Amino acid sequence: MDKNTQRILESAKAVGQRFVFNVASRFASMQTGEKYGAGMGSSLEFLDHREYQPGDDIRHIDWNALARSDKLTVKLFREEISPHLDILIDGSASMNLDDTAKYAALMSGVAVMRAAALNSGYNVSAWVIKDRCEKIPETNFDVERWRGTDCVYAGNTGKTLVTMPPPLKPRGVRILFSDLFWETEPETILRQLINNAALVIIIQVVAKIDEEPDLLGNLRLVDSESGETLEVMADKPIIKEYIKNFNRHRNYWRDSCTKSGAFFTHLVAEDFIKDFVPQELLKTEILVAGGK
Amino acid sequence: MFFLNYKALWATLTLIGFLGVYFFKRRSKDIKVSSLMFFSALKTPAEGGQKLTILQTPLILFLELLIVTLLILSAAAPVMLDNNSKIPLAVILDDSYSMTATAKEDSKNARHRGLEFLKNNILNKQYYRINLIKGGSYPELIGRHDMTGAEAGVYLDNWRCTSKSADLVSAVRFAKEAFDKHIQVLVITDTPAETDSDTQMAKLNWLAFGKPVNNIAITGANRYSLGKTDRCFFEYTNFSDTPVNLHAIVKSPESNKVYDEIKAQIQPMSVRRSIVNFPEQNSEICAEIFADDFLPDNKLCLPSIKREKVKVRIKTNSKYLDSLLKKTVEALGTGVLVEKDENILITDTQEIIPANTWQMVIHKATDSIMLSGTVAVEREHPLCLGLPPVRALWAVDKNFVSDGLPVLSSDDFALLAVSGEVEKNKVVVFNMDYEYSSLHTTGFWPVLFWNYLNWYQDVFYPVNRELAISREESSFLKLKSNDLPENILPESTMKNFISVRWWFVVTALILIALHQWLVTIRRPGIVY
Repeated sequence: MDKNTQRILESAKAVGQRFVFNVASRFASMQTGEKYGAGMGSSLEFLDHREYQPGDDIRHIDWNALARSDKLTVKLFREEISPHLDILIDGSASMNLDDTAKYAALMSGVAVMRAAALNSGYNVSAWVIKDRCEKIPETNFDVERWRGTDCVYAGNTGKTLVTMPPPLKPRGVRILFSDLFWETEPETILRQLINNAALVIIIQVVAKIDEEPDLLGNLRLVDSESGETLEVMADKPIIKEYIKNFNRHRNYWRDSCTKSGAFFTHLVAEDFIKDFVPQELLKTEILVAGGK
Repeated sequence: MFFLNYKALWATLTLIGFLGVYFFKRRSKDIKVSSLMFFSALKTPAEGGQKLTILQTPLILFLELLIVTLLILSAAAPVMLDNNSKIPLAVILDDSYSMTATAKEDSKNARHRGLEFLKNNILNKQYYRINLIKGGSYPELIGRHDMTGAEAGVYLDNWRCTSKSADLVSAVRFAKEAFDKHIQVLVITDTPAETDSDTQMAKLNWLAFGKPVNNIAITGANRYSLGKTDRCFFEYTNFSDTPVNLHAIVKSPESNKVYDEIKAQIQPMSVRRSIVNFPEQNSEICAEIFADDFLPDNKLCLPSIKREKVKVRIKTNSKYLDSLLKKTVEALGTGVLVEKDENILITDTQEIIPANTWQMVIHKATDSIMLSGTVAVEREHPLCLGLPPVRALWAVDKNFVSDGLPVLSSDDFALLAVSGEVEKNKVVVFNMDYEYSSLHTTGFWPVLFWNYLNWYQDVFYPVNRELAISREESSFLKLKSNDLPENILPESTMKNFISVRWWFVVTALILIALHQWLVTIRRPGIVY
């Protein structure tokens, strides 16, 4: 990992520390655990009082307070969670495409999520998907010190996920970072990931050239993974057709995620490394501000 | 079909550019991409649709080249014209020496420039019926009528510019009279037309390709006898706009003896004359100018003024005819009777004779008739010069047939026929039954034989030699070029052409549509 990428990861980590995961309050399967969450929950740790609102658990009404003030008041307790984050990193060569910020964006995304997860009291595990899913032992350290994340695998990582899935922790949050450039059916992969998970987030990391290739003329396209070549006379109609195919592929994944209950978002590498803010995760409040 | 605007065809060079761009584009550039799946790993959609097809770049290139070629051809103004409606054109070629005058700083003369113009503007056009006329002292048709450009190009080699003078106005008249009255006339010369009604007529293009050239020439010469002394006279003229240092010698080429040497400056348009006396001799005397670029008028040789007598052998089967002919030859004084090594053989039976010997055959009649009526005479022929009209009996063989040129004839009878080549074996056949004719008693007889012997002397022993070039022709300062027309065709002629430009344009449009269809429709299919 070069120094420039290391600097980028430090910045990403700093940004990630401003966020926390807001996952347990949204998903019942996480609301029993060993740690207190950042939101309200059902632990024994008292947090606050507030006025009763229709729908509140009547077992939490503070009857003493009702007697004193004649107002219906409920007790608020800190949520109790069992937070765990599994980060799955696509280790294929396409994630480290020459002359793009794809790798930097991939690892920045990982750094942001790790920082936000630690901020939220999560345990973090990370896996690099290559011919098998290799666990990264150094997840207690910063991302730049992780080994084996060089993204040079020339095979189909989607197939690895299906045939040799990692032993993911039950009821945890699982985030897959990949460009998803596989022909493997999304539902097959999602079925593996969604099984016994609190939340599955698919983050498609692509370079700008993947999304809108600025190609023109007679080109010999070389596949970064297989080395396979294709002679193409690139012009506007060809590129238009490519973009159409690319969007169709992305939408197919998005629809599949929606059907499976997973959350899908995408990052354009060159844009993401400008501010490291995962906009869609913030919009959907999976991440919220409130860190250190 | 042919093109009016040939210059547009230069645009075909752009095709090389197209090919260059094509081959440049064919040289692919390597680009590493994350995956080829959106380019090539395509699946046929379940609902059907187009399968992956490869863009046919060579076909597209071919179409593009074809389209561009068609558009260029349409820009070249293609027209149709059938053979009958081709434009008759008479090209009059100035055949005078001045066409070959070459300036020092220019390697081309007016003839070269005229030929170049003809090749670039006339011979390569298919819409002309070309008639070539050599405009020398008198007009002369070269080749056949209505030639194509390629044919005319072959005959142009006969245009050597060796005439003493060129009567181009006569040549123009000749063209108008000999050909179609609507004929287009093109005069290739070295001097712009003077104001003359003959050169201002419609459908006449007078194209001058000359350039002023300095020249010094021998413009006069004569040799005559002063008893035992010969005298020669030479005249040198400076046809330049600057004074010229003349260096000339007069010498005998036989003995190589120099009789006179002139080194003098001659002012512009001035003349220097020299007179040389020397003992009477039989060899020729030549004057020669040095350091002058135009050679034909730099040297002139004057032959001896003493003429050799013609050696005549008479061989007939009739003593009467034999005696008559001998008396005639002896009386003329220009011939001498010999028994062998003759120059002329006069006989009554045609024989095989050595080269350079002439023969007169007095045809022996087998079935003679008496001639009555007028005799047609070829007045310009050397045998007929000065023949007096006489009253005489002329008995001729009515079965006489000759393949020679009849210079005297009456009704259907050739009386005197000439065949053979002048400098080899000239044969004159005299259709006369001497037993019944009385021609020998008239003035006709000696004049005819005088002419015959004199003709031989003129051919083999000429007395004075004319100047190779006339005085007027030696002056090259007047030579000029005029502005060459863009198109020598008048507007009215252009209307005869049927434009076929739209054939090309419409075909090109159809091919453009096909091209567009190929580049937009034949695309890879879709994913999923």
